[in-house]
Amino acid sequence: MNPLAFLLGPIQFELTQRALVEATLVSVACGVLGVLVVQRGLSFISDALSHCVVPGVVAAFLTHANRELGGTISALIAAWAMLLLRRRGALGSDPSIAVVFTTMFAFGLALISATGSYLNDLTEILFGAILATSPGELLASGAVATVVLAGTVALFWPLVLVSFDPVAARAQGLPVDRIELAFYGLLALAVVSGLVAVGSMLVTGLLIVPATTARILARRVATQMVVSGLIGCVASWIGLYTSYYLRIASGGAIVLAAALIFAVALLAAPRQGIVARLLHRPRRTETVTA
Amino acid sequence: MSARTTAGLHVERLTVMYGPHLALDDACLTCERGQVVGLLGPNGSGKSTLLKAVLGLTRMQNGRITLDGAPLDRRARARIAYTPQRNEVDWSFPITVEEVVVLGRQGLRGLFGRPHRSDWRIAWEALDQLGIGELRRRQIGELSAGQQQRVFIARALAQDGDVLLLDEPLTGVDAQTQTIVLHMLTELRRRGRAVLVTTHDLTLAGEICDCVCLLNTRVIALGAPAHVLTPRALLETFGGDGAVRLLEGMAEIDPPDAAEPRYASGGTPARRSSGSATR
Repeated sequence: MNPLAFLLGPIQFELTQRALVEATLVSVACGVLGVLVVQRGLSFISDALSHCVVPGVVAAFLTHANRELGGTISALIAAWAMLLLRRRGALGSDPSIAVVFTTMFAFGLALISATGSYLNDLTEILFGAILATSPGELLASGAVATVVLAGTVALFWPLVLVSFDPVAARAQGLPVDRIELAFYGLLALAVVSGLVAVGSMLVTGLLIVPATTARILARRVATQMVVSGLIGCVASWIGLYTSYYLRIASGGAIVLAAALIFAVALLAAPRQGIVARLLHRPRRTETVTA
Repeated sequence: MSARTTAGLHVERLTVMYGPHLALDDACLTCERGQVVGLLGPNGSGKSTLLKAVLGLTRMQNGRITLDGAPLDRRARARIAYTPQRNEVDWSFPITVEEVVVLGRQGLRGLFGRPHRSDWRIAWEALDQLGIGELRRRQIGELSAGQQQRVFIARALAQDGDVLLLDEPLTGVDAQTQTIVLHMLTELRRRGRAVLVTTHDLTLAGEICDCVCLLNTRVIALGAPAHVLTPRALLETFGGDGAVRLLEGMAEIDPPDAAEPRYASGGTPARRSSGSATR
């Protein structure tokens, strides 16, 4: 097949065009916000949140309401509960998060098992169905991704300060609690935006994998955000093309593409890559014998 | 504003409890503009708690803190700059030195504010003043402890506050940093800032501070260093062993007939790290 035909193949259908735009928006938004998630060691919380959206999405499914709205409400409730437990809970952070997310996920499963098309609906929620989603749903999910991106850019400096040195942020009179709440809100929205593209199980991959890759490649937060967003974008395109030509699940393909980019960066990054480290390892024995 | 002269920071009858534990008991302290006040006490004596109370980071059971006669609210707190202790910061954070310093001005810029060109210029000037202007594009974690300490003092300078709170600025830093920080303290005094500094270092307290406060949950002594730094008061503050170690550390710093000159110019260690005083 000639390259042009290869590239244009998926684009000739309106369905795949929409999917490409949607996947790009979502992976860029998740990639950008993911840098702060990774740096703050919140991978577990983001994974937990992705389980927590399930009951809201199912409830929306059952009542024919907007999926994003349902997911957002249930993620925000969970995020708020986690933040509260982290602050006040005597349990410690990890178990409190685990209790919240398993409970909510179990509730979601119980809800969805009451529907007639149990397996189909479950698959779609857990693993996404970007090619089988209505234009309206795609629009909603794209809008959510845009909000995440805009919010992260608008709050960039306060978010950096609160992540790096929360005591200084508070001492300077910044509303740290509200900034934290906004951050968790953005995280919840990012998770919701990824539902259609890759499903709730894999959205953590979009948040964490490109950001971790960017961490190997760049040194400043802002640069890492740009790199992470770009990786997310490239991964979503590679993933969707692979999914189109090899007929595999799009969500899995996108996250696999991101993981592939990560593996390449891990090996070949200029400074922190495994190869670069091996090459620049101090040759102690040689200098001693010389 | 009250009628009496109240320029500077006033802490009145401050009491702080952590659960059942009494961290500060009825502490009073004044730090006027153009004054460097040293806060001395053993670990857990409430030095950091006092700074945190001034910054509004801890709940006071009792007491009143005023700046230039007015009670501290969130806006007034933006005029107080502060350097953190080492363990409060995420050193692996992908942030450059100049970004750390410019973030000292975020409180002035507000929630959605971004650093203006003038903010970057102020940040660079502060870094130059501390002799680390050429490190401005380095990642904060790549610097030595002394350089990191200077970055945070530069951040406090960039914030351009009327009051500076420095938490152990000389602990674990190199000789060059000590010299620069001490110079900075006198410079800040000259500019009419009120500087409150916690330290273990008796030499710093004796040489630089206009006023010393010996603290061990309550204020044990407060006044000019010559009057306050008496063996008796130190004994009461630090206990027997602690006071002896402190005084020994001081003797080691300035020996009458040392074999090698300790105040050598250039890069050689001019003073021992203040950590040795508490060893």
